[in-house]
Amino acid sequence: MNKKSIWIGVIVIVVIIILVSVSGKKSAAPATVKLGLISPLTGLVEGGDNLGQSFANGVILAKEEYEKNNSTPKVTIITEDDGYDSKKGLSAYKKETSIDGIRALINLSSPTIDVIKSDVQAKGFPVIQLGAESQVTKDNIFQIYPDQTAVSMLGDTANNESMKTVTVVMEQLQAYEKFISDFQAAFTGSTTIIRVPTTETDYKPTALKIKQARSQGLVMFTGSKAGAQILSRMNEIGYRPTRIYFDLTLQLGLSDYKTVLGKSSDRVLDGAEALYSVAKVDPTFTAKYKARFGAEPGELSGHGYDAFNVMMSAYDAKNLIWLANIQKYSAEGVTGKISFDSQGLRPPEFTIATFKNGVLVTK
Amino acid sequence: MEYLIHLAILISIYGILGLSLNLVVGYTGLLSVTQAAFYGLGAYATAILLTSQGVNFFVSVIAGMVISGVISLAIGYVLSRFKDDYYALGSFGFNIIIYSIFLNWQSLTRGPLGIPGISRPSFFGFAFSDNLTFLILSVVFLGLVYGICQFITRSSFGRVLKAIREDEEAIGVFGYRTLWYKLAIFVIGAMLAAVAGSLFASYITFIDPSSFALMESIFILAIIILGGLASNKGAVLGAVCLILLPEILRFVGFPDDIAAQMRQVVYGALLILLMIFRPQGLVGEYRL
Repeated sequence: MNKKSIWIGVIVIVVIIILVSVSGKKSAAPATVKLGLISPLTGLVEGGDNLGQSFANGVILAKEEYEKNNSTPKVTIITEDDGYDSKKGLSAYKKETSIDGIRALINLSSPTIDVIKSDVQAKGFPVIQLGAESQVTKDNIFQIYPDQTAVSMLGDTANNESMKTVTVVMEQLQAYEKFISDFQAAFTGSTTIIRVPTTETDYKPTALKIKQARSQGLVMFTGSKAGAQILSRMNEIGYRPTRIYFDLTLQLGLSDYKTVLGKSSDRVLDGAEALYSVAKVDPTFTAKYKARFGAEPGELSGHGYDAFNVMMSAYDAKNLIWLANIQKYSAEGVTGKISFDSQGLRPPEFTIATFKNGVLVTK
Repeated sequence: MEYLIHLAILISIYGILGLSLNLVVGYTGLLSVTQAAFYGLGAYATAILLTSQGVNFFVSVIAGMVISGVISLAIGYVLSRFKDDYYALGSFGFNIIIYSIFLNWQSLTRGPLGIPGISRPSFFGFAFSDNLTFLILSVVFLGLVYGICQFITRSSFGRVLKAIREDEEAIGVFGYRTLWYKLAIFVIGAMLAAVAGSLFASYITFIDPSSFALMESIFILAIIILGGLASNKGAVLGAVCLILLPEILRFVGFPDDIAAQMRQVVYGALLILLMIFRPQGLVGEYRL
């Protein structure tokens, strides 16, 4: 064995000793609550919006406000990146539970919650998840993003408008696969599905595939920036289906559609039907977020903000009471009314709106 | 302790992957970036057989190896017609094809929804349900794979592989049918990668296509380059370093709003420095 091998072995052993020594850390004193936050701070960028970072920023903003108004219990947030990857998510979770000793968890990524679910259920501490677990059960996991089974409303709307064929365009994310199955469960016609990688930059092939499908309707399950680009390419090739249907992203990302489509936005979107949240969004949140982070809040910033507030409003030192408090929580958040059903899902406040003369109009 | 056990399990799995790829890249000089595809084939074979057929884990490992072996035989036959950069590009393409199959063959793999609820291994009634026993199982598999790789690389077969790496034409002149040697080692590498996939699926209990994309192949390649090409010890050492390094960086304090990004920058910078000062890897035999 030469000297280099010995040095390498020494370095590895030292690292292991360091990790062993920090792994013995106990939880903080009862007056401090350690909240874990796992978010794809790198790795989930949809149409230019770093969803994970904007979600985490919402949590950070809420925590800072909490500290101004509350002296106990103190809260420490342990933020870890999972890169929207199940392996990294599991590593982040193991670090936060066994080394940091977290008391509760706020998580964004679907791959992470699916991997850690059985352990989280065994530990029994509160978890607030953004959404889209692959299997929802009655447990200690609560979903802060409104349950998207309301997507079936789009299917009902398409049926009522006598659509026989639709093309569904979706970005290849787990959440959108659930949207498709909910849509298809309601829609009685035939569906052509076009999947677009989240890393796509050239949407012209997608537009050409949509044109080739020649469906009566087009359903957009994409982020707003990607969706806007797809519609823009369709406009360039001179194709427009009879009706376009959107999930919440037309409402949430209308400015993106108008920016990308420019003067043709009103014509391209005219008559489009979209899921519309009637929740009253707190207008002061945007101003607070911009003042703190110097940028517009991302699509999920409000959900991160609400997740923290739900967690700490319901706080109790005993997990069972804490969970019960979250279960019966009912209040207005910045993303609308928040409450949870028996399976921990947040009921949506949706209707269908139609795009007319530059705005979304509810029926 | 749970955290350390978790890291040790990942090191075992990626050690197996590194050893499997090292046979192809390090010893034979074939720049392949398909390893994640075979890793994924093993993982999906185990996931599907365990969840829908209730097959025993160890039987699923063998099934994964057979599936991976058959598919790698076809891919390897095509790739063996290429050399150098063209070989790498071709393997790149095959990785993308197999990833696309994982993503789009919804009826079999559930696409982006992934396959949840994969059970832990059991052996004659003994379940490897807690992480410590799973670690022992992983280390046993790592040991077996290490032993296989040592046997291959120290044999006359291994010497032919090195000769192919150094000068394929010359060894061909001596009457060795290099096509079959390259094909054989490609298939062996793929089958060993499938073992890692089976372990991964059973440990993590949920798999989806994103774990087996092209970036994963590049990560496995980085393991053996960092550890040292044509060194079995180096492959395991590379896995130790590349699994531990990002985890150690979690403990380095950066402001919350830039921590993740800064860690990636530091991680990248450390790898670059390592390659500048040690281009043959930590215990490598030769440079790529």
